[in-house]
Amino acid sequence: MSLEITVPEVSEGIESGTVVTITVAVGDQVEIDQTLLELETDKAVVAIPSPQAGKITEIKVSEGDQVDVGSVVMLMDTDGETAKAEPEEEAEPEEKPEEVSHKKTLPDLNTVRRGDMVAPAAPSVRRLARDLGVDIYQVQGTGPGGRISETDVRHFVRDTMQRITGGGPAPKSIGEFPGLHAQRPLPDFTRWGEVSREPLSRIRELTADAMSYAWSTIPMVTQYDKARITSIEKYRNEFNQQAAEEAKLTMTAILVKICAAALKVFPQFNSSLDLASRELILKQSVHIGVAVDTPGGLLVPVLREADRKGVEKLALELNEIAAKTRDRKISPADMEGGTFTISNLGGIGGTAFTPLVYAPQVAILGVSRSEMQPVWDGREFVPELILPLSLTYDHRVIDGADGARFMRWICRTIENPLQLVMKG
Amino acid sequence: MSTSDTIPAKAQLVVIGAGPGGYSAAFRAAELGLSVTIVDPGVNPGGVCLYRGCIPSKALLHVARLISESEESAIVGITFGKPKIDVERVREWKNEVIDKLTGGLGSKVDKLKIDYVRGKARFKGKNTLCITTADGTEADMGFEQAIVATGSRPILLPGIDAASKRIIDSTGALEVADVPKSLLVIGGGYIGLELGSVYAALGSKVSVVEMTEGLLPGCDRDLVSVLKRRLDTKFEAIMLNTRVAELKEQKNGVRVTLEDKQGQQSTKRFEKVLVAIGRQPNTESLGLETTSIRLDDKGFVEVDGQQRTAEPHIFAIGDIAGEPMLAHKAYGEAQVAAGAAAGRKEVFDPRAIPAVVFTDPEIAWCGLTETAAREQKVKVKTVKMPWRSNGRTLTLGRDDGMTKLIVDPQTERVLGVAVAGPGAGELIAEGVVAIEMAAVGEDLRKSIHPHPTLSETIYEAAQMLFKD
Repeated sequence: MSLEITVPEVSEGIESGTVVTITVAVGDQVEIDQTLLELETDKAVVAIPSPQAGKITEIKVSEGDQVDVGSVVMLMDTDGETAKAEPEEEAEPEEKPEEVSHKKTLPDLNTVRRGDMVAPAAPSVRRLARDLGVDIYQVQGTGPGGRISETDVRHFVRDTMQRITGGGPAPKSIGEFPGLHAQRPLPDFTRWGEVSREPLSRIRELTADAMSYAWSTIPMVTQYDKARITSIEKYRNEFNQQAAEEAKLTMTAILVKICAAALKVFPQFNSSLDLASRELILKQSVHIGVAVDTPGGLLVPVLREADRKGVEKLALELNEIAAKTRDRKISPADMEGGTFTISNLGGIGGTAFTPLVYAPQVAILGVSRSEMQPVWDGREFVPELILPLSLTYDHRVIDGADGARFMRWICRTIENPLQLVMKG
Repeated sequence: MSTSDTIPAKAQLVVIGAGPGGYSAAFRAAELGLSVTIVDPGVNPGGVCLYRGCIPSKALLHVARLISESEESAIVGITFGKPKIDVERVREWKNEVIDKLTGGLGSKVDKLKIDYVRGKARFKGKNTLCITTADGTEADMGFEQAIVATGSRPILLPGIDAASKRIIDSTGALEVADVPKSLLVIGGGYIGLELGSVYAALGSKVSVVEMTEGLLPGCDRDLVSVLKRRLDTKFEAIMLNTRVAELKEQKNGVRVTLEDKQGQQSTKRFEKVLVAIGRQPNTESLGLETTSIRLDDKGFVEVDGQQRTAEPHIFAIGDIAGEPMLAHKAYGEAQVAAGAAAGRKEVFDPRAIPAVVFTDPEIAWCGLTETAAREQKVKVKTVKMPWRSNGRTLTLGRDDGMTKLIVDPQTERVLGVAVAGPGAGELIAEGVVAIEMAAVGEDLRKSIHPHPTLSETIYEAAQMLFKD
């Protein structure tokens, strides 16, 4: 039996995405839940799993294609017996060999040959598109039979430029501040040596957007502090000797718990500013985002209801969600709704850094590498493991004194975890 | 043309092979300012196309056409005597055509200051070629970029002596050493039918044996049947679904054992046998294994849309870079490779590569065929305009022919054009332009076509798309 595989609803509000990788080929026998392709949406890269076991008989999309939720991307033969008897070549699209042998995450306009019956455009128009770096397959033709004219290509470029520089009607994705990301004209870098250009991944584009929005609209202050973690580290190491791999306790998991408790004590840190209605939105739940470094870029999965979970449970959840994120199997929904963020660069190194608030949140905790340092205990210097912390907050919402108090509370709690249970 | 006696130590761009792909890539690259070296064993550029393919076969087909027209002119009231055929002069004239064309290419090599090394090249790693010249000198040459265009050669039947005088391939047939009384053509593809037509006109009794169920496999059947009706009268026999079981060379001919679909064997004797079962790319003695260049499972060099191989500074074009093995595809790829080598943004993305069978009548098609549409399950709308009522056809003393348009049923965008009939090869160019320009049926029927010409059949076919 032949089964049509369609793009499932990956997240609320997501209507389409870009195929970044096709992980199977025509003729492949796949298992249920095996990843068939990866879709890059506005929010994340989502793996599309196979709904059933069977043999892929046709792949209707190629890497770089824009696909809508509900559209058919592959055909599958779910009957194992007939699958073997069928000739394999039949359903294979004509242009297949090129695509398989030159697998790339993003289509390089110069080198990819694609199915030739789409994108109706004259050779001169295709050349113009190529010269302007436009993927002709994204241009909507307005001529008879959908023919793409030179004007269509120019309009496509104009509309794209307006979207990026905010010169015209701004689309909804970055609609808040048209002109925010305007860039001055770049010099011709090739005057000083060879350069190559690569298109921004969707993740990079979104990170750039979020960071420049935060940088240019939020007055931020960073507060630095240090916590002695000798005893907590000792406990952590002892715990980990008994713990299974997936239950390993990380410093980040402990900090998630402590921050969750701190946010309950200092509710203004768990808020968002609504300037339009001149209100501060205080959130009753605590959802903590943890920045995860992936090959595709920075992603921030969210641990839900962190204040209501024990450290063990948080450690388990964090390990699982971090692994999922690194494997790019995280769904966009898993990255929504965070109220506070932790960015731990301690694993890589550094003594301190200034994290940027992830709007519309109002604070973020940065964690650097712990170091053994001499600490004066009143009589002598004793060796203590010191964890450097930096807290960046939205100064419109949080005053310096509150920032310092929040940080002190966190450090004191790291040093005396009893504080966690002092108030229930 | 002046050829280099010495092998240069280094080349900016080396083009290996001077067939249609090689020489046009070299010319284009030189025009774009690159310093170009061609390596080819021929005296002049030309390759298979000019020396052993398109050009000599078309020259001979012209001869065939003259003969058959003189025979058929009785119907319009003009009778010629039986033509006297001077095979030697035919051969001479054909060679004059070749010399003129290849000589012209040679002088263009000089004009563009291209270095022409007569010899063969083999890779020694990804930046060096070992070149053996015609006189046996061997030397290494470094290069910055290379375009490989070594073409293809006829596939031989296993166990057949390549030097045989009786069992020949297309190269041998184009020599026209003599006109055999009887000729068996093995293979009902375009090469077999074109050369079979030449020998039939020169006076041979020609038989064709084809393994599959029809002539010109892959081509739409309605086009083939226009051709077959005429070939049935010109050829002694067309044996379909038939396999050659054995070829035995004897002193006055070749004994051929044929086997039909049911396994029934029969034996026939022919004076000569022409093997035209396909062509294979020349990739073997190139030393590709010393580079990371990969071949696909059919033996073609794998390339990307810019014709770059797995070694990005080495390009492959023409027959070694994949089907269809046609000179004009090589021309297109040559432009792309040369442009890319010169740093331009080029990509090989034709919507339609025309195919022409130069038999009488000719068959030509481009873009999507009905056969392919069926296989790929593409929904199409097809209109067919028979030539019977076309004024020009009748004034040419013919009534066979057909023009076919294949369009998208929704948008009426032209997806494929096919023509069978005298001059089809010339008419198909309009179809190529229509497809490349993404023309719709309305565009074709609103373009005024000259009267009375065969091109009107395209216009009339487009009219058939509309009811109003």
